[in-house]
Amino acid sequence: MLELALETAPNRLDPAFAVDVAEGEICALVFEGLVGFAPDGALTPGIARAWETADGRRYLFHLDARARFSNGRAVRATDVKASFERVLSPQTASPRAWVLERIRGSVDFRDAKATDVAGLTAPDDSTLMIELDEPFVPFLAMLALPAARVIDVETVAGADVPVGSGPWVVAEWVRGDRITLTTNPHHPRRARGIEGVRYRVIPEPFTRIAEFEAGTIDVLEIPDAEVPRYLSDPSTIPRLLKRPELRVFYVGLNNPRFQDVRVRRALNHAVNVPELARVLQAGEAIVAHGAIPPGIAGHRERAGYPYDPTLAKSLLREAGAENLKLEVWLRESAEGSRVMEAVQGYWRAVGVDAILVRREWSAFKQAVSAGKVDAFLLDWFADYPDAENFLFPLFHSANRGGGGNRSFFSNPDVDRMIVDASRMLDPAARADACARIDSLVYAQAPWVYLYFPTTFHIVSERVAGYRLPSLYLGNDFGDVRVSQ
Amino acid sequence: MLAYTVRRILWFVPILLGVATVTFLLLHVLPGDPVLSMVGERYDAETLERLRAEMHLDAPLYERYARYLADLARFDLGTSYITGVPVWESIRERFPHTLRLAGAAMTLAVAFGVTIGVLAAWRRGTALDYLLVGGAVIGVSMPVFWLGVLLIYAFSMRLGILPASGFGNGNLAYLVLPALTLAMASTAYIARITRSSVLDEVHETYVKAARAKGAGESRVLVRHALRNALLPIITVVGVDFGSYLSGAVLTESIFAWPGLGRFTLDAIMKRDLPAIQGAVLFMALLFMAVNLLVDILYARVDPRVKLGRGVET
Repeated sequence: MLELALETAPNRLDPAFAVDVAEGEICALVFEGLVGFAPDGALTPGIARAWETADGRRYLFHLDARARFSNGRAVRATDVKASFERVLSPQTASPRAWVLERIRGSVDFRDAKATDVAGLTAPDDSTLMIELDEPFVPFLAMLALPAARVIDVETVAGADVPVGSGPWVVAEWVRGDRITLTTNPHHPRRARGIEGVRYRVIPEPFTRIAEFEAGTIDVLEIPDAEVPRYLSDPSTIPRLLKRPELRVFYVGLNNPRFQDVRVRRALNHAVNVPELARVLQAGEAIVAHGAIPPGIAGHRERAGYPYDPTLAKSLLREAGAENLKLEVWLRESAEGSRVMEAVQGYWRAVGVDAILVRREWSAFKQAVSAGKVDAFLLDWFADYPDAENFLFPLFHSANRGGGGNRSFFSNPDVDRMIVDASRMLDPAARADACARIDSLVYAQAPWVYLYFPTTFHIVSERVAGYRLPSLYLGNDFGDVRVSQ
Repeated sequence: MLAYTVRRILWFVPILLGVATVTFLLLHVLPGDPVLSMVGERYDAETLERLRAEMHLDAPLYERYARYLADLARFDLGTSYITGVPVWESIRERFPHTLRLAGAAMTLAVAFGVTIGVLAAWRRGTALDYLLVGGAVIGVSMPVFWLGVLLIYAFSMRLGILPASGFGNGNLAYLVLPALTLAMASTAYIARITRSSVLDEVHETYVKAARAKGAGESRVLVRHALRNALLPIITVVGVDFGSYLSGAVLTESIFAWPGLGRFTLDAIMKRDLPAIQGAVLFMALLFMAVNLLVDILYARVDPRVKLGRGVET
């Protein structure tokens, strides 16, 4: 049995309702999609063994005849259609319907103007055609998200967990305490080296460390403050796994309130981000000169806003913003406080007075998404490893507020370029286009760009073959072996 | 006694109604939005509206309040917005864990607290008394979080003799550290109360009479003084037990104990209104029930107490 820890307890193990990392990670093990992610983030076959698209608008999927639900029933193309329609249905009221809303006819179906989704057709049991309203190349990667995972729709009523066709099955779920998975005997790529995976909910970081050191959990995500201790111990180094996160840390500036770009640039120049990253992330974080993290096509090295307090002061003077005062909102967390207190110190040195307002997540999200704050500390991580997953939600004006663009950045050229890039079939051309957009936005300094963090995990001696996935959805433990 | 108990139970109804109303209004004025907890990091206004309508959150306040009271009248605590599970079912799942932890902690606190208190009173003014009273002061002042971490470090990480967290399917070993952590402050408090109450009693005439009859010091303290010093101890035990039954949030978090405290904290963080309201009502009911039991116990311990009429002198 592979023993793992979760920081938060999953609330729902249902693809239509999985919204956080813990729920998504377990849903990805229990429910299979047409496609999935390998640990390195590459797209892999799932229920579909092959797929084709000529224009990024029409997709043809050939289903794997071996795909079986854990109850033994073969997965048919109509099951995929029924699963998607369930997520889109107004009766389900899924908060993740946006994942599938680009499919032609999905809005009519959601608004009860149609009895099925016109863009979903199943000519036979092993073929599924999906037609979108417009070409959208990242759609294929979005099909690996939990909301697009397939269930046996007949099993939903009255069940805590619907029946899926993934490599794992939920054998036991004690809410708030643990979830035990066993292998799906019908899955062709099921794990052979372990009989199960047990997730235990352990909210406190210190307790997770104690459990790891006592040998009762096998993989520990090392809290930032503890990383130097593990890095300095030669006996633990061979068991450390390092992951550059597909995540960007930033201080979002409320752009409508800071309309003068000189002020926004000054706030960037005032912060010594390399030093901040060195101290807070054991020198392992990568300084962000854009929003697209390394590891995603479209990331580019570029000259940043160098740390220059004198320049920051003169920019503020030119803009008539000396003695600037602002409130920065942040969530209650040790990491956030450490970052923001450092930024606050740098800003004070150039005459900017930042008041830190700490709120728990719900109140924070409400105020920040409504544009009611001057600035906020936040991060954004990839649901799917595509530059579009950063550029569209974070900077397209259609997503101002809750859609992800909480700095309320708005630029018609950027909007158009983001849409154009999402239609490009050539990966290299699309990466270049995304890099250009990132560069353009960076020059406008809608945020104070901080860094792409790196996390360290440590694996117990009894475990072999464990790979740290680049995305939380990217693990199936297929090669893991556990010695007793 | 029966009439008194029935009268007290009838009083539960208006008190619960008051608690329900205050909780409902408090949650209404609190910043944060339950719908935002359901949608993750990326959502659109339409989705929020749909979810709000689905949960009747778009209805006027009075209408939602009336609906809530109507559900309560049918003993229906509603369904969690976040988990989709009926609130009563979740409380029924979590409460046995809380009861177990609270019961163990209280047993330890009473056993150690009373023993230490009597010992300190017996050896008043000696080094042992100072040691025990000093220990009690430290115990009362020790933050639960710090003590929990310290115990995990010592017994799980260093000595490796006790599990660090979880409830281990009821295995007693899992109960030891959380129960000790939770019991510490009560033990110290009970010890101090016991010592001072016993010392108050030893100057009473009946204690002098017992001594004059030739009873040994330990018999005088335990059989005579302690028995009459029990009332304040029961009060402390009642109040602490009532609050433990409501869930010990910190202890449950440190030891990953799936009790009512963590359930309520999670619900508050996610603004899961039905879960918060249900948990608060249940806690209020428990508190009242424990208080009633304490009052009944007073009458059993001290025949001078006539329930509903105060103490006869």
